[in-house]
Amino acid sequence: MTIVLIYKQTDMKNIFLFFVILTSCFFANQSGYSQELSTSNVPKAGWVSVGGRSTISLFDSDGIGLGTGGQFRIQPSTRVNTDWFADYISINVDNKVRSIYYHIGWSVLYYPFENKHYPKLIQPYLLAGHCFDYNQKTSMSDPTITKDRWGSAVQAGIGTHFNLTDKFDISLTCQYMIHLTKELDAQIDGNNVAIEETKNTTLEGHLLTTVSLNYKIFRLWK
Amino acid sequence: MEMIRKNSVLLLILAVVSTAYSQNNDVIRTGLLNGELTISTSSMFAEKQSYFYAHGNLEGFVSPKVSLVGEVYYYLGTTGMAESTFRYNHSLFFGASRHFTNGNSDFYLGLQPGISLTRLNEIPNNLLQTHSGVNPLFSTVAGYNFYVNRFFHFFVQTRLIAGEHNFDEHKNLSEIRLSAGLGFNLNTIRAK
Repeated sequence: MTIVLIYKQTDMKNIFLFFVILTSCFFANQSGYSQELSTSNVPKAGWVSVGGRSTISLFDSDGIGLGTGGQFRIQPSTRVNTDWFADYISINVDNKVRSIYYHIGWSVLYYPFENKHYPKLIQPYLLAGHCFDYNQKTSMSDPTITKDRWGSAVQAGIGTHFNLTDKFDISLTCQYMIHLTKELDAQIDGNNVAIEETKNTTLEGHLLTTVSLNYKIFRLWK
Repeated sequence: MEMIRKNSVLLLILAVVSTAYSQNNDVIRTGLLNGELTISTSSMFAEKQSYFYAHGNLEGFVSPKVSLVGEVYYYLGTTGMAESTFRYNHSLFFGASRHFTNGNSDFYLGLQPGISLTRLNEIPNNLLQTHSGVNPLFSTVAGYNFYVNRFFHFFVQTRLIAGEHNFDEHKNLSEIRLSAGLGFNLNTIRAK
């Protein structure tokens, strides 16, 4: 039934929303399991974790995009973590222009609630950070029409870990990223495409919703 | 006579399966390494075409309930008579699965970000020239393993994929894939 529903709605946004709902249901079911396990006394500070991520970009002037990337984390204390990430996001602009973003940056995660680490399933956090971003816009039909720019951005948002084991978590993050640079503007008139750089810094950005998988691999210090 | 032979084969399979099932499961635990290689078939939602792939994966259990997995699909062609929209549509995934085990049975759900390497086919798309491109993908996985013994298991897996090809012409890469076959498994950590 679900597959039939998706088949009719080929729009990527709907499919991604289905994934998010499925994920939520899946991990909501984990709470019982997680509570049953014995308490882990693994200290949280000093751990280094690595993982992969998927990101959906919303409220961008280009449209909705999907990204893939990876990250590692270094946790300085029980209440503070750091996230070092790289993303590759591709956006379809009106079926005429491809807009790709590379993000390389870092965020600080702050856990406002005490004692929410494993075996507690849900561990909310606030996050803020900075990243370098690269944007390239290219006409799909004529790749010679292309422009790119490097820039800087800041981001802030909220999120939560779903702690499945003492070393493994899945995290859902929602953050707004503001680009502190001049933007590339794709002007589409029928089949004609022009790409121009805006004259001023516009403070445009996008809402990034990320699902990431993280596994603690070793401790830097005890 | 044919009927008896079929029933005998069926009984033999049931006997093997029930014998395996009655054993205490000491296979699904931390350190279990799974490897699978098979042919996967698919259905594209937007293109109304079916493709098939060589599908390989490697999975390691970091706890009895959670595994990390990497999977690769090598595009082999279309199953229909019509020419394929893509010259190729290879993909690579990495992610994790949550396992719900009972004896030798192992049902799992997983999340796997990934990328695809795609190139459009010129003729069916009315294009003079096409270019290859790398596209981000996101996928969810549901599957079932049945561990026959310490070295083999049967598996079936479905995967739902979201993504877009944005080179030369926009194409939706949303797809459902189905794989099944015989897999290999090995416990790399001795049981305590």
